[in-house]
Amino acid sequence: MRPFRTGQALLPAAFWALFALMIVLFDENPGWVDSTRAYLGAILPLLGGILGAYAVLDDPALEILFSTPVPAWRLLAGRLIPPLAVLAAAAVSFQLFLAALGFDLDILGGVYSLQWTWLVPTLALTGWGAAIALAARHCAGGAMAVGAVWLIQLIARGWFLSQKNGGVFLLFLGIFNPEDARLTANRVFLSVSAVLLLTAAVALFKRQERFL
Amino acid sequence: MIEIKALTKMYGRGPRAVAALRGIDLEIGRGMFGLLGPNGAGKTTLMRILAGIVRAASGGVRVDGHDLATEAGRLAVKSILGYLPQELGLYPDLTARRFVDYMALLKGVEPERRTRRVGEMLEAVGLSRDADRKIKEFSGGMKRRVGIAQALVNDPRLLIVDEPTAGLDPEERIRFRNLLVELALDRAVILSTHIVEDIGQTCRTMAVLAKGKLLYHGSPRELAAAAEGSVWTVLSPDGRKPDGGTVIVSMIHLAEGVQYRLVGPRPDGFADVGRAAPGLEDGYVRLMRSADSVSGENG
Repeated sequence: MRPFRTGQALLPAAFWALFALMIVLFDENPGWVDSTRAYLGAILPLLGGILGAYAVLDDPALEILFSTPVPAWRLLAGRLIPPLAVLAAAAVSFQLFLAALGFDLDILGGVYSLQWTWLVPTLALTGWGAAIALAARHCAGGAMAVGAVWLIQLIARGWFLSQKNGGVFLLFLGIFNPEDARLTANRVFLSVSAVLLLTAAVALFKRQERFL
Repeated sequence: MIEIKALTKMYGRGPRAVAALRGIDLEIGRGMFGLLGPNGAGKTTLMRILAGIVRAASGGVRVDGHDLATEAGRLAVKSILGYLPQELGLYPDLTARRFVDYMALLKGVEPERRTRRVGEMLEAVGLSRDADRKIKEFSGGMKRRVGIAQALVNDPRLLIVDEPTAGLDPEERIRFRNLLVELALDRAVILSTHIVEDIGQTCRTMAVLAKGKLLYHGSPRELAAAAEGSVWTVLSPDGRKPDGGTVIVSMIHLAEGVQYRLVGPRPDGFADVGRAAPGLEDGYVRLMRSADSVSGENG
């Protein structure tokens, strides 16, 4: 739906290389576990949010695109799917890289469970970034909102975990606390949030004149 | 083809709201239609409403039977639309061919005829030889030609072009005007501009907008004829400018003095005053002047 912008792949690729290098250089256990958790569970969602904030409005041909008979949801999907595909490729290739080095991913909760830990928070922050950028009509505003939520949750992770229902709202619960009893509720909350935020983004994107 | 009834558009809310369009009634059929007016008249807002991008505050617009107040109506109009916006944004890292092809894809041009159609449009705007160069290497005029090619790629029944000749050299401008006239044989083409000559050379009917109001709807010839008896040429040996409520349309420095072309009442105090045949620009100036004096009296 939109010619791919190579810029969308540069940031994920740079972080991929950085974390791969860290694991190769400091490959003692549990160093690789912490690095992998940080990359998959924290960095990828952050990148998803930032790329989601910039994917929609950072487009010089927006007015011409608005004149085409493409519904808002398809235009939005055409902008959000490429960065999400890049992040998915980064996540999968990173795990393949670890497997090739001989690390056992079962330590991180198994291959299936591991996909939830990056995918759900990444979708939630992508929706958050896109919705705020569209509401504010400002890409940087969306990216700052993403950064704020990410940083607050990272710094106050202990506080969230100590509250009765706090863990439900924690982006990083799946990756850092895979045994937590609130994990299912957390996944449901993040998935529903992602759907609601992306729906809100579509509704905002329908008001095309706001973005000209 | 297009029916506009009591169309109003406001920007902002409350006491700070600004009216961009105030109760526009207009009918536009097939052929070339010109929209003329000063900057800030509401031309671009009207173009965007007709393109289904901006929604009206009140009033109704139907294009080819489709109601632009509904999402379904807007999508239906966009499927028969070619649109060249005033502020043309393109993807600098794409080639001209790739960009026009991408637009053809979005506009639903059938895959089996897309490649041929893209090639034809690039040829029509004189970009065949540069089609595989990146847009960032293009001059302003070439970029505008890419914009024209993308507007035409789906063979639209309604073509809306907003200031299309800005940045084109005189030869390109003439060629593009002729292309628009050819296209207007079997479709509606709406040309918005503040270049009076472009309207006079191409349009059968036209409208003039100012401050969001429709000041005139008719033929360019009638608008020009309305200035009959109000256009003068004056030779001023000492260069003194005529006053007395006239508008200077043009001036030329000659060996005998300065020759002015004026619109308004006959200027006093000059020996060499002649009546001139009115052109569209004179008619437009007279219209704008009378609108100013009416709003001045009301204000």
